[in-house]
Amino acid sequence: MTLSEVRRFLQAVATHLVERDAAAVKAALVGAKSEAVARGEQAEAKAIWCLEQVLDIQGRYLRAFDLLKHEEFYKAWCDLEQVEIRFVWLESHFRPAGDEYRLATIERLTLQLQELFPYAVFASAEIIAKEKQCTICGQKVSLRNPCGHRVGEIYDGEMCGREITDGELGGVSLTDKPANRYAVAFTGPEGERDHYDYSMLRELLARLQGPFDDWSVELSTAHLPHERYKDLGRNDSCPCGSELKYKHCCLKEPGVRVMHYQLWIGSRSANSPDPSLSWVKVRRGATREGEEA
Amino acid sequence: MSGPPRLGPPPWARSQGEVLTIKDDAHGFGYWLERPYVSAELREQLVQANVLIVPVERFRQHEGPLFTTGTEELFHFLRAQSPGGVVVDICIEDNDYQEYSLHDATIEIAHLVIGSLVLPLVVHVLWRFIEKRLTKGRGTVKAELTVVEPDGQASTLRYDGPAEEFKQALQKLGSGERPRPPALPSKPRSKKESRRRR
Repeated sequence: MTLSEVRRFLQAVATHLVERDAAAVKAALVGAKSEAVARGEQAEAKAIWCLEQVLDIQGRYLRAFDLLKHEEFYKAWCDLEQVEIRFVWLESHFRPAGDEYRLATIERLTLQLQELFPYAVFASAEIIAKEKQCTICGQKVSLRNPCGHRVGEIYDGEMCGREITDGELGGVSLTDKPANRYAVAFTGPEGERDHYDYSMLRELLARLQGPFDDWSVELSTAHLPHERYKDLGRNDSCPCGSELKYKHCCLKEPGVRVMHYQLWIGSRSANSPDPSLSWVKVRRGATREGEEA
Repeated sequence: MSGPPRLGPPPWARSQGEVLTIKDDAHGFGYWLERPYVSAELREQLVQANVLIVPVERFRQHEGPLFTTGTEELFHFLRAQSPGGVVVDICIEDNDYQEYSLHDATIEIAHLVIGSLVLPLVVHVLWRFIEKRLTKGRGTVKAELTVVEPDGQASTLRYDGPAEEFKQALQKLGSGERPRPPALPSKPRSKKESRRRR
């Protein structure tokens, strides 16, 4: 397989994982990259690294879609997280033209899918790195005598990073804004560990035929009637999540503010939103509109 | 309203903590040059600096100087990108350099001690460093900047909040203005207090 054939393969993007012979493409890229490195063609090796990321993004997105169809929500979440990370890696090295390799579509749909997940709390490791080395040359990181390789840059077709060779775990914290979002906090009882409500994803997926079907989510603010919160005192925290007292926040409003999610299936210019796909989220606990929050 | 996925509190939530605080009477260059982990040889080098990256001296149970993750990149970026007249250094021996990582999405910048004369030159470079780390131009930033006047007076600006507002604070700093923390909203008056006032 030549590099032009690889590019055509990536441009076509199979719509399902099973239709895709990614292993042959990966092998072709690895071979071409090692030849480019041997010839000292750094720019070519870097371009091939970019294609490897494109292949990976497409494969992980297609797999995430399959996993969602099979209700393997957490595994799909991890793949979508990897897709997002690879977009960050690619950002400073490769600017696709339009929707080349369908990257723009995949990026948009990935962000939209992540928005519909109910995960809110994550574990995050606090690490003390005592010694690090460069992943390109293996030299110990030295501030005043650096090896010259910059983190995030591509050398010999590989991205430069830092490997911690001596460190200790400082602790583990729970956060709503982790750097990486794999460590989802599951709090359900043994055997029913995953206690989250995936109804928004389930209903969306039931209406999508393929991973590139067009859909979008519109977010706005809605108000839930105060009667739902009649057990709350004026001095309690406001249920909208503002971290203010109820009396200083939504009690002065027509109702309690919540995020309102409305999903559009297909092109927004041609369709009106599906009225059955409308939810409010109360502090990221998904609730179907009209149901008890 | 649409955009990338949001985690954490809803968009209308405002932190009750203060985003920006200013502390006068802060430690200037002299204090940091006398720290026990700075050797006489290193001190001779650091005395030339007008931008000094300084450590956190206690993190959780860990005693000793530590720098936030990414300080190595910040150090090299400031050195490479700062214009002439700006001398950047870091208050640690090479072999003692250690980092802590909270694995939090917030972009945490190491504490910088900056001479006020080079401040306008440094803030632009610092913002470029932060900008490269933002996702789609958005994110939150945690930073601590100590500005040392020629007479040795020092004040520290601590910031923890949206990147866009930090950019504005940096622009004010760069133009010679000292940003002040926003006034806290006045506490709603209780009925009892209103009656008393009447």
